[in-house]
Amino acid sequence: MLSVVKLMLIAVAVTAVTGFLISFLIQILTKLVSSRPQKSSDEEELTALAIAIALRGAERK
Amino acid sequence: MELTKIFQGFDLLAFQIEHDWKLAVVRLVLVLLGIVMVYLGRKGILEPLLMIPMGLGMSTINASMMFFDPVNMVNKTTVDPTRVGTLFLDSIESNNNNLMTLCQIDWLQPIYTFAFSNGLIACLIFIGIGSLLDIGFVMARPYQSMFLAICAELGTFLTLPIAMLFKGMTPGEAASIALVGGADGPMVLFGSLKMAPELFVPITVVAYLYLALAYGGFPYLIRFMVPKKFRMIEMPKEKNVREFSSFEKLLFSIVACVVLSFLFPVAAPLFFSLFLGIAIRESGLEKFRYFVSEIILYGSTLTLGVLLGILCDAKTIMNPQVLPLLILGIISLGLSAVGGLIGGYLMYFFTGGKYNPVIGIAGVSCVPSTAKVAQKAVAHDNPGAVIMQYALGANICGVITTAIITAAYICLIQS
Repeated sequence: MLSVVKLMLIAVAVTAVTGFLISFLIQILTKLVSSRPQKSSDEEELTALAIAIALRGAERK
Repeated sequence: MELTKIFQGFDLLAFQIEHDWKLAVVRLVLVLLGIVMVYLGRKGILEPLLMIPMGLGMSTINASMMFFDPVNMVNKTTVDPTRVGTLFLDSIESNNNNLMTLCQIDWLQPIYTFAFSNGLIACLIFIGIGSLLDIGFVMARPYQSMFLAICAELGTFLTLPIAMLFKGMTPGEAASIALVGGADGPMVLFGSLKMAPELFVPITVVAYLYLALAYGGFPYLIRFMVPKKFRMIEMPKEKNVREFSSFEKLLFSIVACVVLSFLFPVAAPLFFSLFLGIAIRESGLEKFRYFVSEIILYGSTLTLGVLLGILCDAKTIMNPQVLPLLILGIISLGLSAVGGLIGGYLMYFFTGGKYNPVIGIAGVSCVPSTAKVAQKAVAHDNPGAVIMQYALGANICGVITTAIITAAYICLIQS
């Protein structure tokens, strides 16, 4: 009887700990991604500006 | 020439009526049950994707039995004139040479041997399921979703000691039937193949039958356990809820797959399959996504339904362990639903009354059926209450927790 209950309790503990670990992992990963520097938006602005300049140059010609 | 030798079904039926009439009666019952399952699937009362192929398979296999001993016929050894078989498959044969013979004679034997009994179909279905899941719902509220999902595994935990103590089952058999409480067919199939291969056919049949019934019985359980004033609770409007990018979801699926496979290598095929589906969805590979979520998923589901039906022959169903499995399966699923609702109540108390307890039942991982059941139950009493996003978070998390429990059981029992 005790060994059966022990098996069940170990399964509960393993599941709870692993579940908590996965939730913690989600929290860490989302924090890491959101703390990335905003390089991409600056690059997009520069690209848009370059295209606008090129188009204006083409229109003048 | 006797007519019974031409119409061989009569030959066997006459023999069984004379020597083992119970088997003849069970065959007839299963033929009729198969027809009823097709009807209920067509009407939408049970899940048609499984019930129609399964029902037709069950009827056909029980009708098409004959005196048949293919291995001895091919090997030109003494044929057993009373051996009963079909031209579909032999689920019991384990000798490799005989299996190769059967693969050339029985038309479903290659699929059964090389795709079903090794868990391939379970993993393919899991890839398809993964490609349908939006884990953004989990990532938005990870702890809350995980807590509800673990509570909703109450049946999976409690049925283990119940089965071992009251039915004298081995740990592997008890764990396999307990997994029905996780409400995830591929997991039950995979787990029972690893822990109780001699019982995996009846366990899987029981699991899929109950999963089809899950959304039939759960609304009544909700009404029984959750009074109307609690069912009507509207969730508070969340401020600053993040939308997660595909990159974040893809990153999580990769890291989670690697971490869980490292922790539980025995269940690595399951974790890989689930997270591969998610990764395909989030990586923007539309053609792959179409392939796994349509062709692979539906193809595997059809094959699974056909095989499950074909495996329901009279001899398998007459196994004296089937009835206890039926009872334990329903106990497991019922306790899991109760556990989920208890989890919902605990959240209600933790949040000072600002949480709808019905959300807890969505932790039972029948995606997205139980989330829809929860939303429907709430909307019935309060049409303005929207809980779907919370329910889906718990629902999808339930898939992950059931996979973790499957892995934990396999590790603990095989060690």
